[in-house]
Amino acid sequence: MTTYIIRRLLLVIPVLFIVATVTFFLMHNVPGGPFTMDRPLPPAVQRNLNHKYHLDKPVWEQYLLYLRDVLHGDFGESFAQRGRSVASIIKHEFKPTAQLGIAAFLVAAVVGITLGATAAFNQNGPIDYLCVFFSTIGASFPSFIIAAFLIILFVVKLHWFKQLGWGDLRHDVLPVISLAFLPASYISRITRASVLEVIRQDYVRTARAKGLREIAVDLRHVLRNSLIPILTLLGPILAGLLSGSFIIEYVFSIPGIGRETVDSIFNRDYGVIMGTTLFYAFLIVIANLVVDILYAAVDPRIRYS
Amino acid sequence: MATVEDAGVFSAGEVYGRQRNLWVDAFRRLIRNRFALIGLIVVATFAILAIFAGPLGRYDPYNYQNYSALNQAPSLKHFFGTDDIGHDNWARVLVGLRVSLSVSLSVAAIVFLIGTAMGCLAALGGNATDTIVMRIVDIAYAFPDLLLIIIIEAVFRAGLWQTIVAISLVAWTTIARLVRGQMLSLKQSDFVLAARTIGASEPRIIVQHILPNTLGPVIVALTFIIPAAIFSEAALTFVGFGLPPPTASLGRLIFHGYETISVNPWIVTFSALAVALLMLSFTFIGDGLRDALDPRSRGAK
Repeated sequence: MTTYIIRRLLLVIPVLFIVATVTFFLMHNVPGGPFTMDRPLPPAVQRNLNHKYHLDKPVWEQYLLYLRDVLHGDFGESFAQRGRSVASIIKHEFKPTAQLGIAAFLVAAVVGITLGATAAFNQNGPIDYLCVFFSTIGASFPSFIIAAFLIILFVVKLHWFKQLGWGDLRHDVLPVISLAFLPASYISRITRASVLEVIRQDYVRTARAKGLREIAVDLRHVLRNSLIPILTLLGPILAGLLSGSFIIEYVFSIPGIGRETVDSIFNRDYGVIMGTTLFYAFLIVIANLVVDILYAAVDPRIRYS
Repeated sequence: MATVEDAGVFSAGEVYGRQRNLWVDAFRRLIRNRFALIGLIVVATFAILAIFAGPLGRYDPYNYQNYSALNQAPSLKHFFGTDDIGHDNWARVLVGLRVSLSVSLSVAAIVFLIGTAMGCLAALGGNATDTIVMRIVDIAYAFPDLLLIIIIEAVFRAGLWQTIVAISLVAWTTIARLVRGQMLSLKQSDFVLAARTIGASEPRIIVQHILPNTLGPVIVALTFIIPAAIFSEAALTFVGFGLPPPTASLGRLIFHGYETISVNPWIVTFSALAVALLMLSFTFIGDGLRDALDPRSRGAK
């Protein structure tokens, strides 16, 4: 197991290297540059800036310089927000995104698992139909559509919340619901299917036959075993929430890392594009790794060599 | 359904007939599924509305601007109301449907071709090509989808075809993975072994036996790629990439509707509902197709 983890961790390096390479050359093929914006700088200033950031060198040379800097732990500086380092931007802007993402993740997991399990234990009952309805509908309502309906109801009609702003807990409610809706419906669908499968297993009948109380059978034997397939989903869902929330950050004008990334692509802010893409890729790869390890930890049938 | 009794004596013609009925059977099962049928009807209706967006829209979606009727609620004159510069929202939603449908169906077609080709290449092309193709797929998985699409889109610049290509370049990996897995397991199956024993050539086995059997799961996966593509286009346009203005795609309508949401919630409501209904219908069709094409569920009804 330890060798497996070490091998997987070592594999992270080539993956990040290739992600860096692909992004670097893609981004340098985007027409325009960081200093060719609407308000043109004097040619001499432009020349000096280009020289300072090595933008006057051939792309492959810039690429090698960038790799050298990254290997020394230096992710460079932002062009658009002069004076701020990419590392500090990521550190600062990731906080709201992480706060929202983790809150939405917890809401989605709790709501999804509770709803899915309750539905399966009462198969064909009203809660079951509600769950099936919710999981089918939920999968077709992307976050920004949920957000639109939430805003119309709670901001425009009821005046319970404000749409824009960031900082106090009230501002978290609508974005978290918008983000959690789709993953919650997804988790409830998988939980329901998984519980329904486990309920019919022989060891559940055995547990019941030996006289265990119903609640003990449901929690210890059914739910615990049906959570295994859900575990594999949670990693990608968390990674998706942390990397895919930029639309919600736009809608509620939250100063998060997703918005920063999209803005950096607009501004040709090369350092920030590279930094945030690498950061995201790292999150996704690590999330997948953690899931694989967890999978082996909870299911004794799975062994990695 | 055929029972054991009427399978007693059968001619070659009957066998051939049953084989051809596979797709007819699947379609029959599909429309027996109530949700899938609703999905099909909604998609068909939306397609008709999109194709005849011109006459059905009643107003010019771009050039008609009525400055004495701004931000109106739905009425007989303007079915879906008007926006803050007097555009008729009904006409614009119809054009938006046209954009969303053409983007998503084109993406599905391109993804089908690239995904199947790459999947075949990986499964049948030997170890070296398999490794190369699957490493490309793995790398693509390490990128956040929408951000990769945005970077590709930025390289190509905004536009209809550019959006389609950018979404396709990211979405094909799912199909390639699926086709490869299917083919690798079909290669080991008994009916392929049987075909090989009676002397069928390798290309014939692939074209006649393996390829048609991978088609079912691929079609199901494609119906789920369609709503994902509708979402991607809307999301891209929403944050300012995707289709350039003035194109009235559903993403732009939602984006524009957000700006006036406090004075006129109708714009965002109707365009968001159109996206959601479209995605929901394709999901229903996909679910129905999965049941209809799954050989294990056959004969159960």
